Amino acid sequence: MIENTTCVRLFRADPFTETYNVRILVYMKENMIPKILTAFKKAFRGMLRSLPLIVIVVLLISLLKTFIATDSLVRFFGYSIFIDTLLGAGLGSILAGNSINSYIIGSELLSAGVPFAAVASFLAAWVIVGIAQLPAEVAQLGIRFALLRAAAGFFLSVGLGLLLYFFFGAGLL
Amino acid sequence: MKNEKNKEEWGSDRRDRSSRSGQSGQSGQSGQSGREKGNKGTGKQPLVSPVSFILIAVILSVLVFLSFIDPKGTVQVLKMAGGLFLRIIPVLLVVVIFMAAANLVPLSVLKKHLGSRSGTRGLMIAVFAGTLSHGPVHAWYPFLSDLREKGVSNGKIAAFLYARAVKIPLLAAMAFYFGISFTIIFSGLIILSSFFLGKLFESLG
Repeated sequence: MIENTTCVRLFRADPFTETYNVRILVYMKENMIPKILTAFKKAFRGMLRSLPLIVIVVLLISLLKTFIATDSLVRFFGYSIFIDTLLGAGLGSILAGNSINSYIIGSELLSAGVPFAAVASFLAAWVIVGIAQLPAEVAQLGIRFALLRAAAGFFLSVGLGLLLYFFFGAGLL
Repeated sequence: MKNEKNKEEWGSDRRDRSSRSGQSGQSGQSGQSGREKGNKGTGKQPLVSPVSFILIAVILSVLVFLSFIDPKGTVQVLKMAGGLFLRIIPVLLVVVIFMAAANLVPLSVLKKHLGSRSGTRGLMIAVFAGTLSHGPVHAWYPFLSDLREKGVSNGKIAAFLYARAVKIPLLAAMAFYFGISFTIIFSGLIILSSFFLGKLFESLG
């Protein structure tokens, strides 16, 4: 009996609740929907402004992928651990594309006898630095920020490679 | 009647604008200057910036030069670029949704959680978001630039970009090629260093 009364109270057409619901709907129609539409308009405009830069980066990546033969990278290595690590970070910064490509190239470099530190720095620089993306980063986030970030990323990759080599050794693999 | 309606609309618009300037927590004058900056940043900028125009010209001239030396290679470049561009379109749509959502979040909330005074918690949010973000990094630049205009600090943006080096969907592939222990230590070190580099960028301003 008590439950029935509660149900009736809950679902009864309460004039106050109805007015309140209508008010919420009107508020949403008048305030929320125009705000959402404006937000999407601004977002689309921002994306349109960035589209030329994205096209440039895509073209740069395709140029690098087509004209730099990744299977001949081994010939760049063969000096001391430190220089090889620097070279690994340098190559990783220049080459671009999906990270899975860096894993394949990295494992090929390892099997060809390239030091573990160089391969680790190559893997890190591939995802952290990205010279091909630099023009877009400069245009969107400023030259000082982009160059500082790339430089810090390069040294971080070298540091990571050397740290992994000296503290954990090639036995980590 | 029509004039009255127009007056009302003006009134509501002014109220809305004054409440927005109040949200930024600034005095009236600085609020206004912020608004002017905002208008400059969103409404009146040309669709193709001079920098983009120069870069497009450089890339196109390189492609034209290459088409004389290696026509097959140039066709391959264009085909690859088309394929890559088609692959990033879904990511661009996701980024547009993120940008729209960021436009809806009040500036005061963004500044509180990701501004220069948000401290360690803000950096942790940025690193977490960076590891979760998906797709090519160049698709995310417009969103990050938009966030920076809204007051998100350079440290948080740098931490986000460094943390993107951890690719969660590709961890299994990395473990397959280099082993589980290397994958865990490598990813852990990248997360730690993104946090500290974020702090470094924060201190640089």
